Amino acid sequence: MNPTVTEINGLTGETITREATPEELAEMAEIAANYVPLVFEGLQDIP
Amino acid sequence: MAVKQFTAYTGLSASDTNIYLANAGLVYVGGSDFSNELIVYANNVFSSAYDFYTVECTFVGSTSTEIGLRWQTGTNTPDTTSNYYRYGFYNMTGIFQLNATATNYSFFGNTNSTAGVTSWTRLAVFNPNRSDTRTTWQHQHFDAQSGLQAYSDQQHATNTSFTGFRVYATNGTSTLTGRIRIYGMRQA
Repeated sequence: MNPTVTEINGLTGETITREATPEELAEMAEIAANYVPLVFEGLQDIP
Repeated sequence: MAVKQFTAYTGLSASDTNIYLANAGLVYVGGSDFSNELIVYANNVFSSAYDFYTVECTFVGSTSTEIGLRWQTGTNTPDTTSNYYRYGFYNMTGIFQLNATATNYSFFGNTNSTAGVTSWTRLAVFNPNRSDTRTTWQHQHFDAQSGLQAYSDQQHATNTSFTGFRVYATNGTSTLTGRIRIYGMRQA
């Protein structure tokens, strides 16, 4: 099962949780590929 | 809308309640708790109804990661342009400058690795839905594990009408647990 995402809709007031789509997984993979970790104090990252 | 002046023994009508009480001050436009989510979307939360918004968000520790924000246009399309700028500082063992480097997302905060230890982020967002001016926002963040404090003023350097935003771990893989609330500031 793919990871899930939460969608809040300000128009309807509804919130849904659903499985991430292939497009969303591809988008996050691209983000991961371009991720440049800047480790700060060995604990956290900050750009 | 001006505040109605009530006098002693004035009857409180349903209209009074709906107009003056239910919609007073900050108006809730959306929010949710979330658990182990790859992406948290806040869709359709910005509109012409309000110019100024407050976003309150807490994350509960599970994995240590940086969290990014991207504004969304139209039907939840992320703005991935390198037009996000921040000006400010962060403090841990000293105070360090956050320079004005252009990025394709906004630094939103950190979530830490200690269960039950929260971090929080607050945004004051100005004019996100207006197309005649830039979106600017004030950003505050505190991580109760590391003691990290970050304060900055940020802008998206184009005149773009945004309808919402998304937050996600910038390593592309970690998931987020916490809660988020978005409020519009009533202006009439």
